[in-house]
Amino acid sequence: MRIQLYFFNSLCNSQLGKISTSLKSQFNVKKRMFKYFSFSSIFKIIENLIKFINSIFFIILIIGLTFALIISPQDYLQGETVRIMYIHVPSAWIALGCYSAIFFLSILNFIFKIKNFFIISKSIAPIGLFFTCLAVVTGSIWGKPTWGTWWAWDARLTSMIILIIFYVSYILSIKLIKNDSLKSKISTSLIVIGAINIPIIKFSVDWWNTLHQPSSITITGTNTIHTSMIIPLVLMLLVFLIYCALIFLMKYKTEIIRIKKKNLTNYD
Amino acid sequence: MIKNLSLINSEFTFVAVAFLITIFACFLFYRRTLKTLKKYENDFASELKKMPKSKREIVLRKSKIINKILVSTNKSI
Repeated sequence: MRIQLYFFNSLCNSQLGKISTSLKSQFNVKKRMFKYFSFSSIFKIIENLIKFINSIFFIILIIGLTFALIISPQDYLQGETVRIMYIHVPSAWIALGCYSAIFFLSILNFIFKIKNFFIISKSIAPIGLFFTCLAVVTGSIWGKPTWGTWWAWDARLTSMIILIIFYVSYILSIKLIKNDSLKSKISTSLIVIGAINIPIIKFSVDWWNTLHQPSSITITGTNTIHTSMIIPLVLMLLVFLIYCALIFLMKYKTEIIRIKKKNLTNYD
Repeated sequence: MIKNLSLINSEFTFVAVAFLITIFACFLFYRRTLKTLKKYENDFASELKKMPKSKREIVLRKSKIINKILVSTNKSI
């Protein structure tokens, strides 16, 4: 009986030891994970990324501009003006991408109440607004030689103007509302309502007869533009994405400093 | 030929204007963002300097990120 009890005790001890070891290792993993995602670690990563982007940006910009302005061929119909595509199309893609990112982050923030998602959304919004305006302005400049007019109230152009309105309302709601809870609710509502506009922008050229041409590049289907034009387009997209990353990191860093400045008074 | 050349020139004017506007706008946006970042960094450093020495020491000992912000304030991006 004693021997049985001895074995039972030793078995329990060894099992408990295993469980406690696994719990300890899990706890350590979580601890390391949280340490990795802390503001302190993120700040270090931001610093390094800003330096890295600053060092490579001009090289990629020069390669992109060389392809877009010199190497890529003229269009048989539009001639030289097709080169405007290399800034207009990536701008529009980034504008829609930023809005979609803000939409998903706002939903996640609303469900899980993770403040970092709100800070990221807040940092992305001005970039999205900037690229939407850029897409509209460059589109207008492209419209004059190809359509014969600077502006037309067609579905694609009007939906882009609506996107600008939603971006502006989102940014204003963040700046003007002081109450944090109310700010989060109103800004998320605005973004969710505005998200209806995203598929409208994408499919407006298919649903209605518009001056704007249908999509030349699709993710699933075949592309209607030649590879010699896709290469500069992808390069210019890369340039814009790197630029966006740089601006985002700077804005995110500003937000972290702003929060830390606010919390300075809490240390005792 | 002169007519063709003028056509290319007029077409290229639109391209040049679009590219110049984009580059100029991107530069202004970058400069404005950098200026805001610098302003917040400097404000943060001056706020910290205004604090009493004992409190400042506690703050610097407790928070790693504050040290990092101060280091980045001295460096230019």
